[in-house]
Amino acid sequence: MRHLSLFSLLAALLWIVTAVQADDPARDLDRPGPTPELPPQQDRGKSQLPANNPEGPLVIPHRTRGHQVDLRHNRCMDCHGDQAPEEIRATPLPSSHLRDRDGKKHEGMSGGRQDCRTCHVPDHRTGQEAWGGH
Amino acid sequence: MQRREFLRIQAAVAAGSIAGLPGLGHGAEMKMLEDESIDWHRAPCRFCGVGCGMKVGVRDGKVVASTGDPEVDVNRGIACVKGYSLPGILYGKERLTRPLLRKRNGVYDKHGEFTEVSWEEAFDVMEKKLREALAEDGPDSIALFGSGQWTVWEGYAANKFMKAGLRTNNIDPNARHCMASAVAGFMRTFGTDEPPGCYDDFEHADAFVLWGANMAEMHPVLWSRVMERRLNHPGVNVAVLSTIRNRSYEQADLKMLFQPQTDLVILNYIARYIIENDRVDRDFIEKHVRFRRGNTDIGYGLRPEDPRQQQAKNADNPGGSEDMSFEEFREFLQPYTLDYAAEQSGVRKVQLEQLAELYADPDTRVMSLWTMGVNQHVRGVWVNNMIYNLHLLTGKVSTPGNSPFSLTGQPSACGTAREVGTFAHRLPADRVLNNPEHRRFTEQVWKVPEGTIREGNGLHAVAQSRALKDGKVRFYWTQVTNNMQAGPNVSQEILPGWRNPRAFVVVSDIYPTLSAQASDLILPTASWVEKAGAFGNSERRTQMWHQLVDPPGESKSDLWQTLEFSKRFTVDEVWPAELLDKAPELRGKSLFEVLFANGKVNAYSNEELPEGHANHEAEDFGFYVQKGIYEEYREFGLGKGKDLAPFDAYHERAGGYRWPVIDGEETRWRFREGRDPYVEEGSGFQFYGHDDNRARIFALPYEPPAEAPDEEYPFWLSTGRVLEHWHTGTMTLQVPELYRAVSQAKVYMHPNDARKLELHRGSEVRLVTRRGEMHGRVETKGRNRPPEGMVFVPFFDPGRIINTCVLDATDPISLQTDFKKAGVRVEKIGRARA
Repeated sequence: MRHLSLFSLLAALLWIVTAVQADDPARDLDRPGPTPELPPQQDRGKSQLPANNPEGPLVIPHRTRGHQVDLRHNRCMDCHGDQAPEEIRATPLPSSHLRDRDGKKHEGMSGGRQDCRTCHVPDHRTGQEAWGGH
Repeated sequence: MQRREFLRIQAAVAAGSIAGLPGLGHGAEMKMLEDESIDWHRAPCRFCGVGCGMKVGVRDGKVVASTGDPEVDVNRGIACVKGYSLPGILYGKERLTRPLLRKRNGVYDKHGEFTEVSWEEAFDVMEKKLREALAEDGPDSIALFGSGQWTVWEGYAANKFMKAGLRTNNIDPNARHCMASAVAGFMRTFGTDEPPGCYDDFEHADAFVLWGANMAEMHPVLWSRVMERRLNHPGVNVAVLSTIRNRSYEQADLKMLFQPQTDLVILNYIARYIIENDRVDRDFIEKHVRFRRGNTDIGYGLRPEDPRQQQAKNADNPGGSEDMSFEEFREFLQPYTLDYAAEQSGVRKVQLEQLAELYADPDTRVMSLWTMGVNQHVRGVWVNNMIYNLHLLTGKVSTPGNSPFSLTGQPSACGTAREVGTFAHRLPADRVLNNPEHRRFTEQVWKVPEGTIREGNGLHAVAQSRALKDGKVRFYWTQVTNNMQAGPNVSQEILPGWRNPRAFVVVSDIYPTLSAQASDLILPTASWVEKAGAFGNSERRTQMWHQLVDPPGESKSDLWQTLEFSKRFTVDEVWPAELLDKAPELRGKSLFEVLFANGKVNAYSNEELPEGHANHEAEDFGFYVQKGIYEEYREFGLGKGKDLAPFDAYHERAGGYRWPVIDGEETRWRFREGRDPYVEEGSGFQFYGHDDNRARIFALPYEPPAEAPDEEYPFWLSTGRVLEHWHTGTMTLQVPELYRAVSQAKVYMHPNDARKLELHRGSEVRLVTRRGEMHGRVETKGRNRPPEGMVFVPFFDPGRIINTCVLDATDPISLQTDFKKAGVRVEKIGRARA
């Protein structure tokens, strides 16, 4: 009987302790959950403006993985540069991209615009519009 | 070719119609700059420390457009994609609009559910909890964690409320995780914080050297200035030192991949190269430099019982140093030979020599740039000092293009965290708590009695988390920051403290961040142009803006929250009687009256408010509170080399001013005669932060990191950021285009390592360290390509908290965490478990 009551007391104590922890709604905030598949890149989709900003740069509506962008070669310019073949019909470089910081116009794209990905970001099919919480 | 000179709208529509794609749907709105329904205003960007000037378009009380401000010299009309996404950040679906308190059965309960309450009720509970902590455990059981995203007046108000009002120094900004090593580096070398040069150096340098900075992603507009200089001026070199291959590395001329922590070796090798090849600017070092031997074996900022801490000889005096001669410095560098540097770092000898030559060649103007790779480093202060060593040995400092330049991550890390002195050891304008004269001066400006400000440093970021866990901090308030995601060692050292039954945690934010979810009370907050503000960027530039739109629902700015809450306490309740005896006229007054209605902060009436702009704080408190705080704050910098212009001047000039501002003129190069009015005629240079006008060169060795890979945890873990998301993604994940661009944090690793572990691109893995775990998917071909033996994970993703894995080891001088080096194990997650 004594053992039993000690046991129940222990059990009750244990229950209280676990109950307090289990009761905390933020307890598992740091626990990892399942990871969604890596979403594929949008290809020949609609080109959006970030946050609907009319002054914003167009999102890239096609695949870009593996495209080289460095001092030797800028793959984006193969289709968007002024030497690009007409039949590709990619969005041409706007005139703003020919000007440098001082407003001076260059033959081709200004050096400061070298890294297209600064403004033009890829688009993936995530099945979700924005971060949806937990 | 005319055809190629279409306007963007014409081009986009043409592309859409030719390819038979659906239209953009924005055609009618495309030329908004000419659209009369849009009101255009000026404000600095909300995001990083670059501080781009933006034109902000408002229609029907909402921000609907943004573009780079052509009149602001920082960015001259351009922005990165985050700047163009600004119209989306305020209007996410999850925006908080009412205070939320954890309640059960109608009353506060730490384990209750978040329930909407009034501000009155929220403050009632806060007041009760703060009073309990104060009465039972004293003022040091209260702590506040702030931000480099605070506006200048928000940080100033919080600093004053804590250090003078509640009389605890337990206030620290999240800039501790970001900039603290840079601050300590500046203070040690120059005796005054923030860069000698400015962004104008980008257009004058012949070489750029990146020491742990992926500028192409993290400072993209400055990177465009680097690239413009590089591509338009043949002979200009870009050198990138990195531990992973990233976008900046790919675009460099000289690409160097080094083993973590061996930057210390490379820097000493270059210093040795300069000396042994007789390329020292002798005249410069004789007149302007003093050599110091720094304390070594300084520990890792871990808990005192950690063996790594106990074994460290100088853990109690990590910042100490003593004089040495140039010859002794030369002697000290002898072990750092080319062979040794190449062997330790893994960088090829020929590259190390090319790099050293950039610094050594007197005709090459060098700009060194760094950010988190250097600052988030257990020897981060040393690395800062050692970069300055190279510039000082060669006299390449404070002249156009010769510029050691520390980049910042947050929009006002400099302006608020550093200049206002919201760190647990600082006061405004380079003053510190442990200097009695500095405390006295501050008390005089604040009009509080002598002895109000307590001596001794308060709890810094990591110490705050530990004190919460240990039950020592019982009332905790965080503003504009998300430490539950951004802080180190989340599972062991942060979450347990916040959920400690002894603690009451308040989070002020605009979205339900992980921190908000881990708190007990959430206060909905006004952001960016929903209030009047001032930010200070990386190049000492202060910019201000007016309120442009109303915050949603019942949201209130941090400034309003701090000031309104301060009304709830009288000095009689929070100050000891002896202190009050010194200023009997303050008896019975509230902290609000003593600190903010002190005859200075409330000196400017609302008559002065700009027309056409709401100002909720001024309306509620009855005076032009931002101007009053700013003008009081300005007293600290005058005559200290940190002179700011009067409040109104910043609203009259696009892009504001770079301090020190003397007679209406900004300063671009500090410490240089003819450029900086503080430098006396005939001196050439004066490093006036130190009394002897000399900058310091420090002899500092290689020391190992706190943790490195071993058999059990065989990979290096490094963490960082991505271009599209800003820090913990709170704002940018709300913008659909940014979310879809990068929707989850990936585990970047080398394809050979993946193959060995039978993983492929897209496999789900478990990252395990001694502290916690994270699940994510493998990327072997992405924008970051680590070498074999390393994984890299960005921290923006609240669904994948990589900071559970990070060790809370800090630089012992700066107390900034090393987020870049830990040992980690990578385990495949089987299908059944996924």
